[in-house]
Amino acid sequence: MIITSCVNLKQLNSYSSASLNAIKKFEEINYSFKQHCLNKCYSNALETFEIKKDTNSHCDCERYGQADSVTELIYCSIKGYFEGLTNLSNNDLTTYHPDAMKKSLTQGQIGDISLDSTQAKAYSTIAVILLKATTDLYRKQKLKEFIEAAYPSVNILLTKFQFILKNSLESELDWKKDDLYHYYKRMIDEKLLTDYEKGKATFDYYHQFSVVNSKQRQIDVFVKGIKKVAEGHQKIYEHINELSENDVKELLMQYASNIKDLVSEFNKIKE
Amino acid sequence: MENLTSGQAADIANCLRELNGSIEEFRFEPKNQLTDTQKKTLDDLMEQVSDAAQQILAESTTLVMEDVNTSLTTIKKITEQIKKTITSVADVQKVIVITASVLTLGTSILSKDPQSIGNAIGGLVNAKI
Repeated sequence: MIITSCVNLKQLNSYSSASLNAIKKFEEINYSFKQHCLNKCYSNALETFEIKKDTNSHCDCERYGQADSVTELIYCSIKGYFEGLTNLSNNDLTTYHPDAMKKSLTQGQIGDISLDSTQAKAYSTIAVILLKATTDLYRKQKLKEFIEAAYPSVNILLTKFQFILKNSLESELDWKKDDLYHYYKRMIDEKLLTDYEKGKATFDYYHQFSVVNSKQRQIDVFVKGIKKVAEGHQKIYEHINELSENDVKELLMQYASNIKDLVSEFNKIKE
Repeated sequence: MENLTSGQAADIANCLRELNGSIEEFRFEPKNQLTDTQKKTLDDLMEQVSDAAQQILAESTTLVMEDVNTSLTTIKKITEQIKKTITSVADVQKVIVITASVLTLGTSILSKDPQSIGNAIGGLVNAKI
């Protein structure tokens, strides 16, 4: 029983820490709705060569700021939950070093009791195992309760988080690409430019286009990671009473591994 | 947008993008021989459509809020419970350390060795910290 509970917690910890790591990559996307709005506003100013001291007053980005607030709220809730799962399933939480106990149970006469060195070592080891078993069993039970209670809400939040990033933020970037095309196409087709200037404009266009593409790829990979996190959480919920079964453990390991691969892919995308 | 869902809002924004794409194709097609004024009119129109669609995309995110309000409250509550559990498990650890220190003190007293009694008292004080 003791060995099984340790392994369960280990698999759960591996999945939840990989998930937490993937979720935190949100902070590295480094693009927000408000930033998108400001960029658009600056691009408009570029067309009219308009320079103003106060950039905020002529860029109406309130709605975009609200979108960021919602996204941030969902992100923080998901992150907080997975931090909790990771910390509670972490075996370091109950890794008790038996040095103090070993020290007190040393060989010799203790009152009326006589201990040899083997017995002293055995007593301290048994005591540690029993203490660990009790706390691990408690943690396992609590984790089961939390996951069961949280599942429907976590599922909704993870789905909406994916929606916001994929359908809203990434789509905003599609518009950014359209705007770039429109701006440079007009410049090259309809303005009086030298060949050098046209070449420079073409270079600028492809450079900016590629920056936006990278940002979209980052979001794509991030969303794939969140999808895996959600699938893994669902599997845990569905098999909450069979987490010690080998195939479920293997499945959890597979999810942890897939999530880690996506994090690694995310890290490779350069801006 | 009272009854609009976040998904519908995103769909509308995508339709507007397709619409703008078609206008743009027309706008840049040389055989249409548009005048500068006509081009300018189309440019302004496309910019307005673009602005509206991008605002709708941001709005689709705030519409999500209506769907997640209850979930956010639930997760917040559960996360607090998890934190409390972690603290209580950590407290158990503290109790174990203190118990072990008391045990050390007890065995030191039984051994009647002043040096080890002194060390054990020091250990107990540290464990409480």
